[in-house]
Amino acid sequence: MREAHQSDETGRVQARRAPAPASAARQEQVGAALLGLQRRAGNAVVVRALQTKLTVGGAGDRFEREADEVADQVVPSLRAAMSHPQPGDGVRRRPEDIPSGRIQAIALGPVRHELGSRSPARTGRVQRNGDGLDTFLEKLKETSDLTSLRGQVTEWKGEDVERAARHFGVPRFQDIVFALGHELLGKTTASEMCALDPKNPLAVPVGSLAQRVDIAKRWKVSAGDFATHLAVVAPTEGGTPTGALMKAAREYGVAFPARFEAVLGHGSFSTDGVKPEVELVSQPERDQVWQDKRLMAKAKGLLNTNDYLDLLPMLRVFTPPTGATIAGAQPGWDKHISSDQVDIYITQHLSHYVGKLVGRKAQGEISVVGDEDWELAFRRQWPTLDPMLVKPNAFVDVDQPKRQIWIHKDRGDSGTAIHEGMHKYASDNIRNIMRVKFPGRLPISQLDEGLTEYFTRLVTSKLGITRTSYPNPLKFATSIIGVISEATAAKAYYDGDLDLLVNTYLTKTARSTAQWELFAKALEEENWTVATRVWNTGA
Amino acid sequence: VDQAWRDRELQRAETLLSAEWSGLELHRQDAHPPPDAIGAVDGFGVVMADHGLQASVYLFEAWGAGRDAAAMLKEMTDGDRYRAASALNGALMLLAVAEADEPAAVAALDQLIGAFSGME
Repeated sequence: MREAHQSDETGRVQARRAPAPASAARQEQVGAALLGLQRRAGNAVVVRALQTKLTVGGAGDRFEREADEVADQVVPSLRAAMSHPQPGDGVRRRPEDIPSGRIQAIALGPVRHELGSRSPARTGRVQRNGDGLDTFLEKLKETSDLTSLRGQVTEWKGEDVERAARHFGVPRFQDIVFALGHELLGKTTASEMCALDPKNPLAVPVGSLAQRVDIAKRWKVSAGDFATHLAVVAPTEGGTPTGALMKAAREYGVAFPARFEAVLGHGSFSTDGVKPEVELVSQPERDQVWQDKRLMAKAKGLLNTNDYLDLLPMLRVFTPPTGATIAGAQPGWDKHISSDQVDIYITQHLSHYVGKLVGRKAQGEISVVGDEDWELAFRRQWPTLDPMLVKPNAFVDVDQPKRQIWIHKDRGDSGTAIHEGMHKYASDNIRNIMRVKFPGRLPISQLDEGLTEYFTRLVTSKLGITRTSYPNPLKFATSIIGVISEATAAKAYYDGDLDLLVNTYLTKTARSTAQWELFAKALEEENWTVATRVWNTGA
Repeated sequence: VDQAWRDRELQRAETLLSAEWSGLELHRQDAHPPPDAIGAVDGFGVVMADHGLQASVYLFEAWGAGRDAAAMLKEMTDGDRYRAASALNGALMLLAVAEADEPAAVAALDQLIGAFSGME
């Protein structure tokens, strides 16, 4: 025999044995009796009688006594019907009763009704089968295929949206869905619920970010679920800056990786938009993001190439090299030197040259990456070069607006990061002018690299690091510095004053501009023999 | 050591020493001394056509692990008769030796070291 549960007047749930379902003939008799009473005493008495009999019992006037007699006939029939659990009837189902694949939240029990209202059963309000919100809620409990409900929601009438808004105390359709998701489904399906956004023409105006935060707080939405909600609404939130979404998530207590992930799909995502928020977090928090392969793959898939590549230095990606580690190695001797350490070394050993340079730094400008990101950055900067033939250890985005630095995790030596960091302290002028005026086989300037290597070695020599890069450009840069002085060369290099370098050289050597240009051309073309000859003889 | 990584790094070394990149015509030979004699896991040698310059490339099991061997080999070889130079590039190490009385070989030594050190 099936057991049914029913609340008594104290609200406690009692188990009762349900009578057998009423026969059709018996139901006709009951119906006739109810109609007769209704004609003579009105709806209110009938309803009250049924409610009373179902709940508290009691006695009254003649009509009420008659109503009681009718109710005595009716109630067993109703109870028989109630013994068959119906959606939303308050019957707590056993897990084994739930068909496989159904939403697990069914086991949580009945749908919450409007705040401050009584349930339809107690108010006597007649539910209209097939109508808006009620039907949606009923269907929701019967299916795990949420997309099948899309049509249901799009057919909501204005009053359904308004009822839903009151029901969940929220102002916006998307947030109604958000609240529904949390009320009925829990975090794992909240995103599915939000994905139902039907572009409903009846949807109420877009709610503000502050409203959503308020909703989340009222519904006691967890930080993780709030991040999920933001991730779902982010693609349609073009009007809300990405940074504002991240800030709201931070203030809500969402962990950095989750709030970072939440805004990846933002309709107008930009790395500049999230930069202030990223700058706020600690390096271990940034490490959590860039070391998460799933998350970075998602970022790569959702963002355009420029935004993705801009993210890497912002996160200060510092991928360790392949292979074993060397126990007890000095910092930077078993892997590249970090960008913040580069700043420390350069400012410590070249303070007399770089101390007054405002805003120049390596931190946040260098990424140490593996093959995939390396190739992506390389192809953006050098689309005509073959990364398999030219295998640089590192390069500067000389043709990109942000001129970031890329170092391959498995290449270079302990001084590579310092050499690249030196480029960030230098002006771009010498490089830009020389590579245009005297183009060589590579899109770099040998004079610029020679000067960079010269100042790099002023630092690395203090650190016990042996450098071997750019031996010939260094040789000529050292020769030039021998003529014009290190201080003049530094001013030209860091301030970008190539004229100062050339004019000082011409003055000191009494040579002509033509002779300088002959030398410079040979230097940039890596014609070391000719460069040496012109340097020595002027011809 | 992962074989795929080992193959990739040795291939990178070949690229760095290729005529297209270094500007030098080099022929393959065995590394000298052999890799296992200096704690390397693999390696190969190259020589210029006129034999005025020889070089050996070694692969170590970790980034920068060839540092001590590079310094030791350079110190042992460099002198009046030979000019020696060494360079590190990740887990790769190059030892190059030129005959001191051969200006072309000495010039090629710098060129080879520069090419192996890589573009930065």
